[in-house]
Amino acid sequence: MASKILVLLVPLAAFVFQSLFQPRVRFGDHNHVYNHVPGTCRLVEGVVHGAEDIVRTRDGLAFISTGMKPPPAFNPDPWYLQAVGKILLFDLKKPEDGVRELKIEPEEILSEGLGPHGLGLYENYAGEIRLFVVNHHKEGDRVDIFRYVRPEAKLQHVRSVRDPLLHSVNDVLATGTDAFFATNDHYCHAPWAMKLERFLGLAWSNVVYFNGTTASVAADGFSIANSIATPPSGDLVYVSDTLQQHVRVFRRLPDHSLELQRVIPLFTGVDNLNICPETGDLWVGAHPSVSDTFSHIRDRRHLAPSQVLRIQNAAGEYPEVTELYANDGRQLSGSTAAVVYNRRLLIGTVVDTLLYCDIMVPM
Amino acid sequence: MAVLSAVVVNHVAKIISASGMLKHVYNHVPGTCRLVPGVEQGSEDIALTSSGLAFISSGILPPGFILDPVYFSFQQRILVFDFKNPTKGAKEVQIVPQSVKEDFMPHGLSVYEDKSGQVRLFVVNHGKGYKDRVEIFRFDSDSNSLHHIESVKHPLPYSLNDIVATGPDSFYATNDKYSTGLYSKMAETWLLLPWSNVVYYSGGEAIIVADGLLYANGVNLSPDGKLVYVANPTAAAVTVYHRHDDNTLLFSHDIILHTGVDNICVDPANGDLWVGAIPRPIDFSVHMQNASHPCGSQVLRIENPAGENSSITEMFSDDGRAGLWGSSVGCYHNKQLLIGTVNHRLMHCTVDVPL
Repeated sequence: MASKILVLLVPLAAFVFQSLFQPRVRFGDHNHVYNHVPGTCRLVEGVVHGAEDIVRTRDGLAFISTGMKPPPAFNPDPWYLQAVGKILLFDLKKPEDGVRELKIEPEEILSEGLGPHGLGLYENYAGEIRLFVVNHHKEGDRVDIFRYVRPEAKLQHVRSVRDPLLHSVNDVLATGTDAFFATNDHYCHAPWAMKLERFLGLAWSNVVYFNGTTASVAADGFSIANSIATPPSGDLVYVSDTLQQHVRVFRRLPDHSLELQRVIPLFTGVDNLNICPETGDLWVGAHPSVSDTFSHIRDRRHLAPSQVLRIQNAAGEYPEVTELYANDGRQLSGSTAAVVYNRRLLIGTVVDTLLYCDIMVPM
Repeated sequence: MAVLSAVVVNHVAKIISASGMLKHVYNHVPGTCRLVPGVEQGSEDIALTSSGLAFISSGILPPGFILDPVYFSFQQRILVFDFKNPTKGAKEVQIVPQSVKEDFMPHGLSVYEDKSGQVRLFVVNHGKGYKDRVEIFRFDSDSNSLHHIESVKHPLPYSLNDIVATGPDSFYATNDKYSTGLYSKMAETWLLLPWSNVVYYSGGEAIIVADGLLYANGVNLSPDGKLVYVANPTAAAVTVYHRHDDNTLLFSHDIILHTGVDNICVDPANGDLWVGAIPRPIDFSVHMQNASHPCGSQVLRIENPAGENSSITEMFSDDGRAGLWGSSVGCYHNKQLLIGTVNHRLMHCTVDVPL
């Protein structure tokens, strides 16, 4: 009798233990985060509602999305709901100038309420710069494509792309004037379903390709497909999976679907990816503790650790990962993105602020 | 039954935590780092003079570990490295008389400089047959030699790890284990028995000044001599003690560092602690049994260790790829960092990041 109970109890206990500890290990509660900087760092003035994504042109003009309101499903601190969505500009050639807000035309885009999330940049050799913005519009997620008009420092709206396949968009990677890859970080729509999807580790998140006219699924089976980037050659596509704590390396096929080559494990809550066009290095903003970032979203007083990783030889068999910045949350909470230009580093966050560092360590 | 399983689970959790098994180690450097040529057999402890001369103990076979036989060929030496001439590297110091070297296994070090400028080096010596003692030398810079002054033997310092000089022949020392045999030491570690202690020796007498520690490893003194710091890798913390006039210690507080802390270097200019650590002690245990198994390294800096709001910065971290395995000490001097390992190499870094 006792042995029968044991036979039932032991596997049950193992299952309970596993499901209690596995999510915790996945959410990254076990690593202690130490503080260190690559050089002198300072907070950028005037950024108070996050800097979720950053992209830059070849000559160091950085576009930053700010004012993203976390969805109700995350039970956000009311302070974040006061945010106004904007696009900021930071010239890495003139860091002392700080950030400035970009004008957007037409006005309705801003007055209707811009909910900016991920950004993508298209830059051609004729000098045309297009900014792709993931917009959590009140009528549904869409990707807004703007032309950047340099002399007037304004974003001229070109078109908005809506599609049933684009329903929980996180980031966007521009591949042409009207074409892009986008990540859907969840499969489910309802807030409670999204929560369950995360907790159970269901791998239903995907990457979608839009060719200018229609959208199709390019890759799926992600726990949380967060961000997407491509090296200058364009033959590979990197996608970060926050919960699986890695970057997936794909080969891009002629029909724009993605074929998995390998995975770069990073052991942290990988968020946005950026490629340095000069070196091909992959720069990663990450959450060493995703559960602390979620708590930080629920309560702004709760600090969340931050981390920036640099991956050299990301396309090769033996990528080299270096941690350029780490913080327990006291200087910067919830880092999401990192962009480098000429030894100057910008680090963005979900809902905190923006950090600028001069890199003094060897690169 | 439930109580027993709770105790066991708790113990297992402590071991898992102390071993660093679930930790992932990232890589980063404070500046340009390069391995110091010619040091391949360890650089377990480093002690600095005020002029930037570093003494390094090399060749230790740490007691209490099952060792890869390759380590038995190690030569036990004291090396010297000059921060004012980092490119000259490290060279061996002569020991006078030579007979001292016949029973010499150096571990922790400490420098004592008196007002006349004489430099003394205190060396923990694991003599053969478990006869731990402290050797006191006088350094002669002209001939680059250490002249033996005395051997301090006393029953109380019996399982020595590190030492800090408080006078020309007085010191604090850590006994890292109560047991002296190999297997009894291992049992003491795994059972997390808090039988390690700190002793004070002066003029032929010794007393226990701190007791009940899990693993008293590195020990050092604040610049004003009023605080004693003890590194405890199993507790993953540095303990701060107030030092009384009678040299007894009073517990002040713990600085929790979440890593396998080893030796402590104190910056005389500002009292900052620089702590060498092994981020994943489990890798170190394997590295001891298998010399080709890599091990990570880490150096932490603690500003304001005496106060309530100490600030901890990770100055160096490596998972093994830099070729520096198992750091036990990191000493800072004039925008440079010298990192030693238990039984591997020695690394010199410039410190380019702001402090």
